[in-house]
Amino acid sequence: MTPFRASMHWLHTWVGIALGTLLFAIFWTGSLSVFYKEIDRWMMPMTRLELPASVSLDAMRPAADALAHGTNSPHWKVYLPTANEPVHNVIFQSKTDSATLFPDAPGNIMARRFLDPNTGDLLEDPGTLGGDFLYSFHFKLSMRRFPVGYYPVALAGMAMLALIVSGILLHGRIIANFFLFRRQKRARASLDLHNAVGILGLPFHFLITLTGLIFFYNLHYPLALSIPYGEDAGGYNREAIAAYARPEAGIPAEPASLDEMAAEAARIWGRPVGTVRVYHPGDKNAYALMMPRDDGAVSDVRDSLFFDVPSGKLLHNQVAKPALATERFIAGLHLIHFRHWPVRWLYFLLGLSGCVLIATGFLFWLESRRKRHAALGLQGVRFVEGLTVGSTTGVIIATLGYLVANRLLPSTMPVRAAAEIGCFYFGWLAAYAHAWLRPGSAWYEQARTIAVLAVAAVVLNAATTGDHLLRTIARGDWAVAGVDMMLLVGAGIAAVSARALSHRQIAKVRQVA
Amino acid sequence: MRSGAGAGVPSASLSYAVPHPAPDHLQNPWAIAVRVVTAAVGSYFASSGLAALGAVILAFATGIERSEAVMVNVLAAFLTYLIMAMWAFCERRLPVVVIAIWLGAIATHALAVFLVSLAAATA
Amino acid sequence: MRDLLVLGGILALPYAGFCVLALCQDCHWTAATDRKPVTRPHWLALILAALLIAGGLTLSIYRDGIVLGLIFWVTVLTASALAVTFTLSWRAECLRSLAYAVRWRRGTAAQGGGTVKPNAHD
Repeated sequence: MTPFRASMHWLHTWVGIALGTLLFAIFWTGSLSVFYKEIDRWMMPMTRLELPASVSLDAMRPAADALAHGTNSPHWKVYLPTANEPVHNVIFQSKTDSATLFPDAPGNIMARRFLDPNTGDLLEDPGTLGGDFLYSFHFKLSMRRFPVGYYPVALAGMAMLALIVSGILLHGRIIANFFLFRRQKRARASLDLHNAVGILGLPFHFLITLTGLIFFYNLHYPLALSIPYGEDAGGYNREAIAAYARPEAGIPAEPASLDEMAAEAARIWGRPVGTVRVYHPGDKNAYALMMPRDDGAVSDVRDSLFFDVPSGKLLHNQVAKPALATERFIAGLHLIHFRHWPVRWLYFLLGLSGCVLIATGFLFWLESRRKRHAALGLQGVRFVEGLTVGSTTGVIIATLGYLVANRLLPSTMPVRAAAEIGCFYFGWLAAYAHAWLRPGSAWYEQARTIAVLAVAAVVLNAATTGDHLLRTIARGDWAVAGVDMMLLVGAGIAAVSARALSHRQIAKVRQVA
Repeated sequence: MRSGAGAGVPSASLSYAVPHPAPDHLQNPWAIAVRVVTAAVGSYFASSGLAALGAVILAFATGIERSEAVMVNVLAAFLTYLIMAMWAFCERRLPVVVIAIWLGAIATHALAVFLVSLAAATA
Repeated sequence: MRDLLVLGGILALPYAGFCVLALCQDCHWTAATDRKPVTRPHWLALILAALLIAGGLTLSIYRDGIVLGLIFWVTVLTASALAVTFTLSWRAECLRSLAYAVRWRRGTAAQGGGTVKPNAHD
């Protein structure tokens, strides 16, 4: 083997082992994030409402203003109701919410509350981060106060690109093995599946990783953005993004009609408003930023119109420059905000295939070294096998534990969201401990646990909210019905896997005896 | 779990061979550590410096808007980071890797800052 | 209804095209037919495969426009190629008739001696 190919082998193997855990978690939560709004509906029953024909911004403004009141620079952002999120989703800065364990810690967190789409009234505190926890875990490991989680994810993303390229460069017979999957032979099955998913899924895996990295370009390449502007540090933001901002005046003023401003914006774009942000609500210098609904085109467009809130006058029209428009298109390829259910489902399935890619990589590493490590008394396989189980079935158990906790914990509990997240991490750590303590039967037992937890989640949803599967399908509530159905499908797959694993256990025991 | 041979008797069978022995330049743990740091951190700064320098040169040579030049170079920087990081493990000679990447990181940043200040002074 | 047919076409055409491509390879042809191939694949087979895959792209662009159509088609390519891989692994015998269309001469009996499992690849 040439030194180059040997280097690629070494790189692929070691980067895979080192970062496989983090990458599996990123691909898993990323796949779930395609449907994070549906998971939100499942975990927050009070938001399972009917989408009204029209919504009024003026009706919801008082409740939103009240939420934003009290921080240094008050502002709120609302995502107007859509089909899979039929409530006002208001984001505001806060020192605390039900996920905050240390309310006196420095800095603000972005809190989320929902408003009734018809009346604009505040809905009761859902007491959960819902699907947003999984979504923000995907790109920042859910670190809410300190933005450190972005960087391990980015490092993992760059490592994924290196894994993909090295994987191709070390693959010998790409065309000959294109459709090959010898599932009967255990030693070859995991390698064949790893190669098949890797080669056939190459466009998806490479692009999803690259677009995910490019999305946070301003976080990851601050020097490259600021050095070309020399003394003018904010130059890039000013030239490329060209947003509008002005400080608070300190003088209260009555706001004009937000609905009229939204109508004006819709007239200018030809599309309805999707997102509204209001800065310094109730102040003379209050201004509103409006963005169009983003489910039409691929590009994650952030062109905005800025309005003066007391008068309703248009202040600034922010349109992306061509370079930024390119980056927005790249971001749109990752976020897939556009409405196209086949592509969303394919992204979901291909994301899960990424999970299969990582898992089969681990499995192949284990199978090709099992005999050697057992004979020479090395501990590598034992350690990595525990790592594999914890990283794959473990994180799935953690997610299901999160969902089950959501249904079991009483809604009056003070830090309920924090407790749910605690269940997530506890389940994950317990899975690791179980995998390292009971290596022989870890796979089988964790597969069984997944099946049990998934069915329990569906049953608990029906028991605690009354929305069993027949009722949600009859009502046309595809969000909740979809989550329930996917839980049942997942339980089925886990149960079948458990049976297959248990047969192998029995055969292995018989062979040794 | 042992495949039948008596405990403690090392078997010469092929299944106990190391699956893919590491190449010569990736045997020494210290060399590996240096390459890992160079690939993860050094290549990042080298790609960042290259992007900054490339943006400055592109903007002043072709006269396209500075934000456009910056964006094009930042998009490319993700790929140059990848290429340099992988090269750090392929190149056999360790001094070449270390000097090229770390020196390149410092030099490109310095040159970019210098050129920008030059342009600002003469403008 | 019409949209469902178009969607079905976008999914089915690349699948069929990849089936043809896979059957041009000896080991998969053997898996499908239980026989060793004696002729090379018909030259039309590759053209047919390309047309089927391109047909999927055409339908996708027709349904969703160039940008979305391309994105949909690229993801469908991966999904259908994986589906072919799984078909060959689990139910290779379902592709028997297509295999004989790709190579018209029926081959010799597969590896002599003993029964051959339908998806033995080597």
